[in-house]
Amino acid sequence: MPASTATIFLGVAPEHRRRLLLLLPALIFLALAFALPLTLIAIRSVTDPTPGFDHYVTIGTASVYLRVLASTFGLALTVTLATVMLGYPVAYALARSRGAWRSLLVALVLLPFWTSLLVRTYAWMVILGRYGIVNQVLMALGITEEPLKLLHTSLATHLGMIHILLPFLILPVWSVMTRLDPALTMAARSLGASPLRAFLRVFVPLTLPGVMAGAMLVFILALGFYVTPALLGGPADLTLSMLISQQVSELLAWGFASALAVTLLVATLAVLALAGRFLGLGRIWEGLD
Amino acid sequence: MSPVPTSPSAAAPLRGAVVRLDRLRKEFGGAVAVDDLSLEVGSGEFLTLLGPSGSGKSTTLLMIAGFVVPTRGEVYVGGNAITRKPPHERDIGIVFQNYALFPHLTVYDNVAFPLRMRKQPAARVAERVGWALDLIRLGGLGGRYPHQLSGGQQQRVALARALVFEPSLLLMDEPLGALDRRLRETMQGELKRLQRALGLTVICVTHDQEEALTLSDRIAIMNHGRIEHLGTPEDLYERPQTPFVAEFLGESNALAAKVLRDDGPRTIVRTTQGLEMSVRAGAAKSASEVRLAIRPERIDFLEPGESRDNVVDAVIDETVYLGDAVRYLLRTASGEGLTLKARCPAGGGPGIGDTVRVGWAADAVMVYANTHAFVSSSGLPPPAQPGEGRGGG
Ligand SMILES: Nc1ncnc2c1ncn2[C@@H]1O[C@H](COP(=O)(O)OP(=O)(O)O)[C@@H](O)[C@H]1O
Ligand SMILES: [Mg+2]
Repeated sequence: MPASTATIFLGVAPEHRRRLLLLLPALIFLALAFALPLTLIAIRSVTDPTPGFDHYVTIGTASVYLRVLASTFGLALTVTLATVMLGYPVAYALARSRGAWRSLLVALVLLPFWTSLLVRTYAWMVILGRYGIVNQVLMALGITEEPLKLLHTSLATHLGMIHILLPFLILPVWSVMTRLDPALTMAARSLGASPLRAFLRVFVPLTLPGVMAGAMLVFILALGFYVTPALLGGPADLTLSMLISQQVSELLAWGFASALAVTLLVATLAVLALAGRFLGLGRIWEGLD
Repeated sequence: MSPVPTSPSAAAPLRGAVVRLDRLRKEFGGAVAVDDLSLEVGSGEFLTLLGPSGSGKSTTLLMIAGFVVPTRGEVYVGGNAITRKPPHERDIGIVFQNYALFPHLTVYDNVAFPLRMRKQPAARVAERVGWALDLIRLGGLGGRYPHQLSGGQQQRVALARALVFEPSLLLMDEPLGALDRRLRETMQGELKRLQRALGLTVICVTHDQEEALTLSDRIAIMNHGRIEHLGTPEDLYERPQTPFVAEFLGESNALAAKVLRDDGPRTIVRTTQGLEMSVRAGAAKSASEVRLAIRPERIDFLEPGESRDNVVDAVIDETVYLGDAVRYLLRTASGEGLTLKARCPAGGGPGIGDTVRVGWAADAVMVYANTHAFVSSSGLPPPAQPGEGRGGG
């Protein structure tokens, strides 16, 4: 058990104590709004309806739940990779742009970011629907005769999530790119590297920490995504968050839903820990100073 | 001092190229950063561009390196026009202000980088990197990362990386600016030793005049994108061509004056404050407005009975202790402010409020036609930091 907040507080020098005092409101808020409910959920998962680890045994043995867990991770991974592929060039363009171009690009990245997630998801429903823009254009051009089924598919889920999560990748990558000393690429060029090689050998490795940070953010957000897959996806594209919601709202199985939530949390933390270890985040950061 | 290992590839040391800038010009949206600059740097010469911030030093360097495209004019290295070559085809070594070492690569890989870009075989890379690391005496540190090195070590790695591919020209932008004073002096010595031993042509940019005076064979003083005066350090200091140079390099008493009359081997002038003094004859036309500059260390306290071409009584307004010298701010009876610099007197010199008799030779007064602007319009030089300026010591 870690020492309680009070003992930590009393154990530090007065000048640090004052600084800790500034953290107090946030700490109290986090304790009440985050730590407490989380603890209650964890307790519920082993007490409701009967004490014991039955729920976890079910999750671990019934293949349907493992499959949902796997597909949730698969979806998050695909979405993350796609945002990296799409977002890195955008961040690069942002970092290189000046003046009016830059303002325009920033607006293009941030406007959707500031729009409600629900609105953006509904927009995709309008675009991909049976009589949506895509189908109308395809039919008008004579490419298809009947409307294609685009909405309520795995494709729609992916498109919507990639679109919504893209800024979470672009912003940290952009930030690292603008902080990178331009002299580094100039040095590479002066030492004989063509523009492409300077980019691949110096710029990309040194902006990787930003990519890692952004990818982690996107991956974790994608794991818990609910609205978008629920509205855009088909019945086969069940994610863990949808499953949890189903258990609560349709089956009133609070205990089992809690166990699923804890499973999602633990799995997420495990992935984070693994990534931190194998990708050597710490060392990359260290090298940046 | 240990001998510099010569390049294993060539029996002779590297030979620096002759560099020529021909009416090089750069405009940024109409604003002129470099104004038709022409310059020739000899093989093995160390030339420094010295000037205030914004005078176009970095822009000039970046045009030579290929990162800034000149509005017009040409850059020749070793007789070839390279003005339109991309930076990576120029074979010019650059030491950047903050070294720009690649933080994700070890010292070895940093130094090997230019060789690998040139697709040299591994054995040759190892041999060259070994040579370069020995050159800067960091042989054992190849496995370290840049952030594990001290500032001085990083500086030397940057130098090794810029020299390992035997460039014909080395460019440096404020190379020692980030080092503390003691280290800077050590590095200056080391840099000079390497440059001489390898016969490197170096073009260096700095705003630190002490650095420029110590390292350079010749210095180009830049102002508003133009060269005000190009010459040896001694030339610049002893015979500055413009009042700007006189004030920028070292310290000067800058005075505005009018020519009164010729008086044999002297010309008599009077400052706007009414101080009359004699200067070298022929320095200015009669009745013309002139600018005067007098080095503070060329003005002396006079013993009773001692004399100079110009003698004046003055009150000491202030004294500034500089360690090896004292700077006295004086006010003459006519109200002229003068700065005098003298070695610290053994028994404690005159103090604030004392009236003293000071004098200077007519030859100590540098006279300029009134077409040039001064750095500062007051008669007193701007307060300089200790250690700045060279005179008085
Ligand atoms: N990329 C640029 N765009 C616009 N103006 C510039 C640019 N680079 C330099 N300048 C201007 O050119 C002038 C010379 O700058 P610079 O060469 O950096 O001077 P120095 O290195 O002597 O301080 C300055 O007035 C500066 O503002
Ligand atoms: Mg500069």
